[in-house]
Amino acid sequence: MILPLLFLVCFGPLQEPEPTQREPLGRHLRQLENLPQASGLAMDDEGRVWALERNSGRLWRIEPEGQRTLLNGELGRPTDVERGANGELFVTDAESSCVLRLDAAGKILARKAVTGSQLSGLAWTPERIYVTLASSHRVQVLDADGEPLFSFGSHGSDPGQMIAPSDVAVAQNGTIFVADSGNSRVQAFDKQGKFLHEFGDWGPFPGLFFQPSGIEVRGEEVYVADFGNHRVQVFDLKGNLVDRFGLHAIRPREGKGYIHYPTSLSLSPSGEFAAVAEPWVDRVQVFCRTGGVAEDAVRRQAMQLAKPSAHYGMDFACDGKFLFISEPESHSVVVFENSGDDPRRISRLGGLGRKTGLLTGVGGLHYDASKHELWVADPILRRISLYRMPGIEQAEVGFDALLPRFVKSVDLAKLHELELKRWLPTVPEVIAIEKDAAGRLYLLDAANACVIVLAPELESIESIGRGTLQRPTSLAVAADGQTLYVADAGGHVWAFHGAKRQPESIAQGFTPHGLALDEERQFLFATDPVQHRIWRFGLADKETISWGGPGLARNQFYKPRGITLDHRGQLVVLDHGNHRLVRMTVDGDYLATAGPRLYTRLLRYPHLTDKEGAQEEGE
Amino acid sequence: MMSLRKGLLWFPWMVGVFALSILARSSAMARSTAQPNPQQVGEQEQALEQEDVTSVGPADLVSNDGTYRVHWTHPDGELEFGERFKMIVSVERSDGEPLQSQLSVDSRMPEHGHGMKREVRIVELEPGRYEVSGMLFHMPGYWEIYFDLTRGAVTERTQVSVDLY
Repeated sequence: MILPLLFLVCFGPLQEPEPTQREPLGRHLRQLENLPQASGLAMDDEGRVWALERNSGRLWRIEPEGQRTLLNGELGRPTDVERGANGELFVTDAESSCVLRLDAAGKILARKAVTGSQLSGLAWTPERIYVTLASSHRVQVLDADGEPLFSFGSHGSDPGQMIAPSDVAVAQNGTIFVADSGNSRVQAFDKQGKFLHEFGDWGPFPGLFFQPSGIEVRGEEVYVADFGNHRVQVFDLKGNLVDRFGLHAIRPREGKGYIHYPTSLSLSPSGEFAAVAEPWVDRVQVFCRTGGVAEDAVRRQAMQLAKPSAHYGMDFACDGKFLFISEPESHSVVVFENSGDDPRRISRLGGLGRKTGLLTGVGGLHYDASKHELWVADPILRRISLYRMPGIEQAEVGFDALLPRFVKSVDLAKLHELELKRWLPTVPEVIAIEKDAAGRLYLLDAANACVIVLAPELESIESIGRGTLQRPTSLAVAADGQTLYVADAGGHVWAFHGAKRQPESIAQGFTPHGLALDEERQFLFATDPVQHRIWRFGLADKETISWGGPGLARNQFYKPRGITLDHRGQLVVLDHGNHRLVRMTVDGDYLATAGPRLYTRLLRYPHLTDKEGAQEEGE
Repeated sequence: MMSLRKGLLWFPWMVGVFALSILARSSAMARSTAQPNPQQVGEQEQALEQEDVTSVGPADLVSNDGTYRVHWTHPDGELEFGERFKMIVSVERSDGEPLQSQLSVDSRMPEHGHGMKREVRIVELEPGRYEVSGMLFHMPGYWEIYFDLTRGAVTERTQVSVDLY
């Protein structure tokens, strides 16, 4: 009698079926190339991917074998897609500020307007639709028919507040998780939008974020695309780190499981597959749990020990003999002495923080060499700050952290409250700054799609371009302030002339980003990050030429962003996708390159032809 | 008589001793060539003594864009690291207009990229005159104290350097 009992006690548990532990997600399965500005993603359990192209307004369905079907090519500026019931699709369109309901074939069935600006992320449940509004810094909750129920969140860093939320996901228990990109954290809210808890903070270490961009929940796990740390992190519902996958790509456009600036993230309903969008390289990578290729364990270990590498940001300024480049990893602006062929790093300013003089983001730089003054726009803190440099002769020796001195800042939220709200509905989000000879400041405001002009005493004078501009990215101002040029990613370069600021489209049919105007006003130069080219518009002779193309060779670019003319009258291009600066003549002839990556240095070997250089750098 | 085999065993030791003697000799020569004369020693010691003295910037300051004049004192005596101190700060506009500005005070070590560990308390004693308490430099080195004045949407900085040893 006792023996069978003892047997049961000892061996009983062994006979219980153990819960099956799933393999972690993160084995590289395949990659989908040539998806320009790939943004929102959705997946099914068969491994199909629905992918949006933000700039062209296209929605693709891509089969596991690679066949692509264009479901819709006229979605405005789509930012996220989710699959609903019966194969329906829901898409956020930032251009029309609408949530679109599409049938499985891509036909628009309904369109619901959402109050607020910059729809960025979407989550769908049978009862509700959740939308993040990046420029309104809140989450809008809609019912199943797209009618507004309530919203929560406001600009700020306190619990429940958010800055530029990028995506939202909902757990089975109804908890709402928001990727709070500007605060580099994830916040959890209950069904009514009441703050529950938060996890993460800014940083490179496991569990921290550098602008979380996409978020999904499957079962008990929260998956977060970590934009600036080039990885996906997995947490439990309480925010404890469970796993991570994806490693920072080392070689340009490397792929094969190594990811670069992931934005959107989607998991299949069962959680067997994940798709990660990398608009930086116009690509989507698909990961799985079994099969595929695992991360290289040696490289994973090596990269975990490595300190985070610094990149050039998208903004720079150059005048006289100083060059300033934003550095996103350090939340600072790096100062270079630029009198020779090779810019020499001599100082930095800013650093992460909300206090006066510190920076959380850098959205535009302007340097006035005659006054040694640098203006820096911080679109996250919603302020512009002035720093003063010493003369170049004092900056000759080595690195000196004390060279730039903070002078003053303008709180744009306060300025909006005091003056600007008469003209502008929302607090400005300044992404570019220029100055004319009279000392007037021109602030390019992405939130209100206009240019704000401030007098030298920092009082607002006028706003330009409202109603004309759609997605302005940069501006150039003639020294007399009579004409200003604005690059609009909507597909135009606009000129605003004279006292009446009459608009004229001087170029269209491409996607401009950076602008530079030469002193004689002969030429206007524009970068084109979609075609990876530089355009030169003759303002007098109306002749247009362009050069470049995607690649790493001397006369190639990858997503060039900023552009300016230096004190020698030479063009300097911030070749953002290649992490380098390229100096060239105004006719497009290559002169020199500089940058933190080893492959940029190969370009300096004069004996290499472009082709050899490209081969060597590419390999 | 030592066999050839035993001689070979001693050879590495002899080479080692020879190498060490050469090293010691060259090091002694290097020391002798680096010996400064007594006058140089005096100057160096004087310089070191000067570096070890805490130096505090002027009491009368002009803001970085010239809008304000700031006078500050630290009535508790010499500034030392790890010791809390208070400041009396007087502010006026350079153009003589009414102040109408709000003062905030902070301090940072710009070469280290960090600030103080504590928030300060500011009490307005009379219009334009403030007592700032709770200041503490938690380590020696180069500090900057910031007097930030906000009027409307604009904040302008006045600053002073403190070399703390």
